[in-house]
Amino acid sequence: MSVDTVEERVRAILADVFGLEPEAIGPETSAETVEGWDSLQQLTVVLALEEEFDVSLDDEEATTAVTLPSIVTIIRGHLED
Amino acid sequence: MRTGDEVTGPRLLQTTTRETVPEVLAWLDESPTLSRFARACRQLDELWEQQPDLFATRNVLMIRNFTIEALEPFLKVGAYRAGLGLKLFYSGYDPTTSADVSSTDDVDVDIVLVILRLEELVPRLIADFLNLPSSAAADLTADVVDRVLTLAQEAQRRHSAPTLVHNFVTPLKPPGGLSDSQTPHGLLNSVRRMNIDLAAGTDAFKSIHILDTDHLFAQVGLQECEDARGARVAGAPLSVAALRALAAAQVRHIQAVSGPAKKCLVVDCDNTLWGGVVGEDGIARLVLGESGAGRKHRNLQQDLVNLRRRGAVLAICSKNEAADVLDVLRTHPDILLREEDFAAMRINWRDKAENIVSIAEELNLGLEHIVLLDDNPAECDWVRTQLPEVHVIEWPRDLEPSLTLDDLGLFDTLGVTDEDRGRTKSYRAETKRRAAREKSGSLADYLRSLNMVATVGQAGPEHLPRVAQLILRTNQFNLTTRRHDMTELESMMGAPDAAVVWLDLRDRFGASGIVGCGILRNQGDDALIDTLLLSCRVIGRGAEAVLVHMLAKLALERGAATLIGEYIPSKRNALAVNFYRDLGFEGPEKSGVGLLWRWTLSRGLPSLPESLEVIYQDAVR
Repeated sequence: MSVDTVEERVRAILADVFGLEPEAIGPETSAETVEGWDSLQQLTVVLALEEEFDVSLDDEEATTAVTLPSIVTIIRGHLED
Repeated sequence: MRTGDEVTGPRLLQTTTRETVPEVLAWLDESPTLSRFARACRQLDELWEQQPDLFATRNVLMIRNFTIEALEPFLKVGAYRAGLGLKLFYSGYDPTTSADVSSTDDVDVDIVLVILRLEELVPRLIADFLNLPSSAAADLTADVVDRVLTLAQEAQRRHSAPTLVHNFVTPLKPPGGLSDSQTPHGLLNSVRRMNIDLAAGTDAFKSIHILDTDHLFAQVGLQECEDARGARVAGAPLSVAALRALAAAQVRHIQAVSGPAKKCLVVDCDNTLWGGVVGEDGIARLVLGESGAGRKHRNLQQDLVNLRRRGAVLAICSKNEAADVLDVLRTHPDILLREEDFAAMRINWRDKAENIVSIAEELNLGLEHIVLLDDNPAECDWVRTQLPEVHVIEWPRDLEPSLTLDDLGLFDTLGVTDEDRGRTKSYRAETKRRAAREKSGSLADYLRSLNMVATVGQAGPEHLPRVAQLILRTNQFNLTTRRHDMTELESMMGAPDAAVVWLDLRDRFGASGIVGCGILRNQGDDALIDTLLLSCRVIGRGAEAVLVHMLAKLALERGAATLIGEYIPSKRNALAVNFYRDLGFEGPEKSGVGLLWRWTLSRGLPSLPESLEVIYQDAVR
């Protein structure tokens, strides 16, 4: 799976979870910049990512997957395994 | 936000063009992922905000002791699908020991969900189970059941709202391992016992109901329901699979609290109740039985029998010769459904939609209460277009791969009364009455020929379930349409300034059971008929006047000078607008919401109809 596709799919997930357009999601997107990205929504983000990519994030990953770049890195790591 | 088309791509185009509820739901159904649920939920929230009439509001208080908010998109979208707009309120995380449920003081709560996890409620019970003497474990479990029931009762009283207690989920891995199940005092058996005690402590009709989370999660798979990582990092122990199943079950229960959505299932015969076409294949070659291809037809019949026993009404609508179908129902060795299981039959060559309308008229039901189950796609389509109110199931296609009729939730109830179980019988008696009516000369002759006996009395606890059910479901002859629930009824039953009266009717064709009720409230020198209603099956036979007579008698005994009858118009009760006038009451005066009619009790009591024998049971309790 190409990197672009992973990033595109992550953007789509974040866009759906937070009610944004995918174009509004960029490298600077993070829990700091998106309204409503609190600890409750973080859980939704993780669960939605796991569902989309059929992967399981560990405790560390689940708590650090809070920016678009970090999420893409984590997911790519799983897909390359 | 709309951006230029050149950078949008197909996905964005989709997101910006969904402007109606069906469009949002269709987009979600393409790929019902959690992230799409989240977006669909937001979009439906927005549509509801713009058009408040789209959904009926239900304020839901969730009393919980763990993080369950991730449930929201599943729960709200499921409710939107059912026409309900939920507003969710949450307790704090420790609702049994603190007054942690008070954030809803200014909200009129419609339903309370009590969902507590044992692991958080009594951590010792799970973690230290092997260290606990069995008497200590028994004490702990009894105490937990007691706390949950007390909490539910308090919430139910405080909000006057139906309350759904979620029972406990048996732990995935009991600390005792294999030995746990060897004694009745193991952890698994203890949790099972707690669930039995919870069910015993509530009651199907007491406005506190059980949602069997344990069984639900067993259906999904206990392993699948656990999210150990979520529990560690977010205090959120339920998996997406568990949240989905839980939300669906909650929506079903929330709907069932108001009674079944549908009342009558109209079923086809050939290739539905049995395989094959009776008119061509003959009875001997029909496919029906315990084994082979006949099994699925037999299973469908069993599902229909169960529905009937729960209070749904069955009817047949089949393009056939009546004699052929009746022959199968009467003589086929493997048939489960008999002639007497059906309240109405239309076996002829006429248009299916017309036949369904005629069944609805015969049973006095609205088309919105009818479900058709038929194997023929063309017939299904035809009825869908002709009668959009009717819910059509194309069988078996709509139930594939593994759904049952019950899974559709169309006939869900949270309790079954004797009247439910005997409903088909009473509809069949009604058909015989109609035949008798057609034979007799005048209405008066007919009513006399019925030999009706009305029994009336003041309600005791044993009558309340049925009275509450009537109050919830009666629309046409319902003078005020006040939907008092069990709790209100219980308090009125015991109050010195109120009385709840029931009426039971039988005649030479059979017993109809409790079909009417009235509620009297004292207001100074006046006694007000707060509620007066009669099941639509018995309207116009004089039982109405018997109820009023009984209420007047009680009012007089209690020293009232005037009996006041009230009429509050609703969408469905126009037929009762002149009821009090026709009985000889004076008026009307306008009240805030309706009309008031007066009867001065010094005149005596409103007269009783001659065609009925009246028996007073426990006239003064």
